[in-house]
Amino acid sequence: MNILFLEWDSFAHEYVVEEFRRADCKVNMFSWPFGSENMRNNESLSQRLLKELKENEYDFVFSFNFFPVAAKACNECGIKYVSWIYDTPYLLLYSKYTMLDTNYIYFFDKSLCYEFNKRGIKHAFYLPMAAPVETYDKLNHITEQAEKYQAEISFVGSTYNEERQNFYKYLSKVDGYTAGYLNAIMEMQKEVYGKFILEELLTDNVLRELKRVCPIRKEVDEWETDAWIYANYFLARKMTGEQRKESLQLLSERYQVKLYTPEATPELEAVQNCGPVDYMTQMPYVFKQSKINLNMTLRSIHTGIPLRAMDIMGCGGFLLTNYQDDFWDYFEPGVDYVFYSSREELLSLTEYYLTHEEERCEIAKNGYEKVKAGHTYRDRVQLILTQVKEL
Amino acid sequence: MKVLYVMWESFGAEDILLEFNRREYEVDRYWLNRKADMFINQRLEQEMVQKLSEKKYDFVFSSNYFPVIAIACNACDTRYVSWVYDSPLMSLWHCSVVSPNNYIFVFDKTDYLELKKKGINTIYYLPLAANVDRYDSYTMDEELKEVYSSEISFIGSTYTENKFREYKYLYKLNEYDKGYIEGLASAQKLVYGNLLLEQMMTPDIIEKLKETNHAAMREDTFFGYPKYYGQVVLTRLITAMERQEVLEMLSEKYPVHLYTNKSTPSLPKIINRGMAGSKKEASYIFRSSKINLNITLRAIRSGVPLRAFEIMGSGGFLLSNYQEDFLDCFDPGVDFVYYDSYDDLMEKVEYYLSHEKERQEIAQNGYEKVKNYHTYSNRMDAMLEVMDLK
Repeated sequence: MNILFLEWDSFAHEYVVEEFRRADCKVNMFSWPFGSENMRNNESLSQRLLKELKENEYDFVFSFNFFPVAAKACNECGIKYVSWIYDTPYLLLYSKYTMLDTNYIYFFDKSLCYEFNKRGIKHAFYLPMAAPVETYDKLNHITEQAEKYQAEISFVGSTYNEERQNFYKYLSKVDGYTAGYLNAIMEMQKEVYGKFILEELLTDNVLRELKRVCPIRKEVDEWETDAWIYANYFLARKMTGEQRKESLQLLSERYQVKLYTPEATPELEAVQNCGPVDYMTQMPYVFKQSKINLNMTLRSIHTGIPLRAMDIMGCGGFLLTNYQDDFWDYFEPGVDYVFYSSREELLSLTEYYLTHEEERCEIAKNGYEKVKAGHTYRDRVQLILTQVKEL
Repeated sequence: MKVLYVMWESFGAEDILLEFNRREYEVDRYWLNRKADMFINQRLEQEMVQKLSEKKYDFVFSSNYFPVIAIACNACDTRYVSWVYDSPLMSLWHCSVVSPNNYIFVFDKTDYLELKKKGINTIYYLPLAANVDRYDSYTMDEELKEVYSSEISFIGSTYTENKFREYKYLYKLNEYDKGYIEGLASAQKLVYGNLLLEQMMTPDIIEKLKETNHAAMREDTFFGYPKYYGQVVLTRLITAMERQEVLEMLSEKYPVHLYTNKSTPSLPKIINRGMAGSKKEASYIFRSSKINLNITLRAIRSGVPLRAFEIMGSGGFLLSNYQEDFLDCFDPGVDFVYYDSYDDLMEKVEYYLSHEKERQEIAQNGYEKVKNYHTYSNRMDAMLEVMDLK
C-alpha cells in the first residue's frame, strides 16, 4: 500500500511510520504546517496536497489528529483519509468536513468516538493509544544517565501555566458571581471522576458573561458550541493544572516527588522540578526508574487512556492513575495498574505501593505484558490496514 | 421479652409495634414529647431512670437516636436499641453514642461507615423495611383502582415550603460567594452517589454563610458547620431544585400525579392531589401507578428511603434516583430501576411506560424480594441477633 503521511511534530509518529514500512507499505512524508498555518481554509496548502495526490498513487493519507483541509482535498480526489485522534479537546474535529465518507477517523477516547458515531460519521472507530515496547526494551541497560531518573514518585506533564496553554487568564474580567460560579464547578469537577460536568453546568447567564469578556470567533465550517470550548479548553485545563499541583504538593509533603515539566513551579517547594524530558530518549528512563509513575489525565479527556499511561506500562513502569472509564476495556485495576478516585485514595495507595515492593513489581510486570501483547503500534497499524482495506 | 418502646410520631411507629405484638413481647409504651431537649434533660432522664428501675426490660427501643435515653439506659445498665431513619441525624454525633449499652442501627451505609471509622463500635448498618402483610390486607375494588390509576406518581414534599428554597439568605451573600454556592449546588445536582458538599465547605465560605444564616451548633456534638451547611442546608436546596425540575420535565410529557401538602403554582401541568391521607391510600397509589418515583432527599448520601420499601412492598413499580445502598438489597433492572441523570430518567420513563410486561415483572420481583427479606420481622431478627438475644 502507498501511504502519504502528513508529518508534523506529533509524539510517536516515528513509530507508526516504522510499522507501516514493516508491513510493506510505501510511506511518503508530506511536511504538514500544523501550528503555523490555517488548517480549515487554506487554498495554497490544499493545492499542494492535491498536486501530490494527483502526481502519485496513494491508497490513503494518514495523519495524527484530523485536519479539515486535508479531508476536503482527499475527498475531492476520492482518496481515503485516515486520522488517529490523540488530543481532546480537538477543535478541528468540529468541522463540516469531518462528516465526509472518505474519512476514517480513529478516536483514542471512547466517549468521543461514541459522540461522533451518534452524529452520523460513517467511519468512526475507537482505537486506544499504544506503546513501542520493542524500542523501550532496548533501553534496558542502566547507565549513569538512567540512574539520575530514580525516584519514588514521578510525573511527566504540564501544569498548564505556560503562556500558550493558560486560556483561563482571558476570563479574569468576569463579574463576581461568574468568578465564584466557575471556581465552584471546577472544585466539584476535581472530585468527580468518570463524569464530565463542566460543559453542562455553563448556564445561559454564565455563558453570556463569558462571551462578554472573551468572545469566540469561529470560521464558517465550525459547529462546536461555545459551552464546549469554554468547558474543555478554558476550565478543564485550569482545573487539571491546579489539581496536578495540589496532588504533587500533597505527595511531596511525605515522599520524594520528581516533576518533569517545562515551567518553573516555585510554589511547589518540596517537589523536584527536573525540567522537560525528551519524549523518545529520556522519558522512558523516567518511567523505568520511578517506583510510582503518576498519570493525572487532562480532564477534557473524558474517558480515554492517555498516551502517557500506555507509555508507562509499555516501559514496565508501575502506573498509578486517576480513574478513567476506558481502562476497563483492556486492563484490570489492581492487576495491571492501579487507579484512585479521590485525594485520600491517592495518598493511601501511594503509601501502600511504596511499601509493598513485590506487589508493585508484579503489577508493573502484568501491565507491561498486556501492553506488549496487544497494545503496540504494530497491533494498531495492522488493525488500521485491515479496516481500511475492507471498508 | 420485655420492651420499653419510646414512641413519637415517627414513620413506621405502628409497624414496629405490630411486630412486637406479633412476637408477643411485653411492651410498655412511653410517649416522647419531642419539643423537649433530647440531649441534656435532667427531668426526662430521671423519669427514664425511674421507669427502668421499676421494671427490668430486655431493651428500650426508639426510632432515631436520643442521647437522653442512652444516658438513662447507661445508668441503669439496660440495652438501648435505636433504629435511625433520618440522615444526617445530629444526635449520632453526640458523645453518648459510645455507651456500651447502645445498639444503634442506621439505615444509611455512608453514615455507618463514617461513624465506624471514628471508632464508634456501637453502630450497625440496617436498611429500612416494609410491612407487606399490612399492605396486602388492603383490598381494592374497581372503583378505587379507577380513582388512583395514573401513569406516574410521586408522594413527597417539593420543599417549596422550605425557607432555603427562596435562596433568601443567598441574596445577602456577596456576588462571588453567591456564585460559588450556586455553582456547588448545580454541580452536586448532576452527581448522584457522592455527596461532596461537606468537603467543599471551606472555613472562608462557612464564615460567610454564618453571617447570613446563623445557626448555633450544639457544643456537645461533633456535628460541625461543614456538615450542617453541606449536608443539611444545601442538600435541601438541591432537592427542591431537583424535584421541581424532574416533576416539571415529566409533567410536560406525561400526566403526573403529585401527592404533597402544599399548592404547586410553579408546576402548572402537574396534577396536585394534595396529601396522601390514610395509610391505605399510599398503598393504593403505589399499586395503581404505572411508575412510582423516588427522588431521594439529597442529605441521604446512600441509604434507601422508606418510601422505596413501601412502593416495592405494595407491589408498585419503582423508578428511583441512584442510591448506592439499593445494591445491597436489590438487583437494578430486576427488582427496581434507577436513573442517574435527567436524560436517563426520561429514557427509562418512556421505556417502562411502553413495556408493560417488563414493568409488571419488575414490580413483582421487587414485591417478592421485600416480602421475603426486607420486612419488619426480618429486621427485628437482625437486631436480636446483633444483641445475642435470639
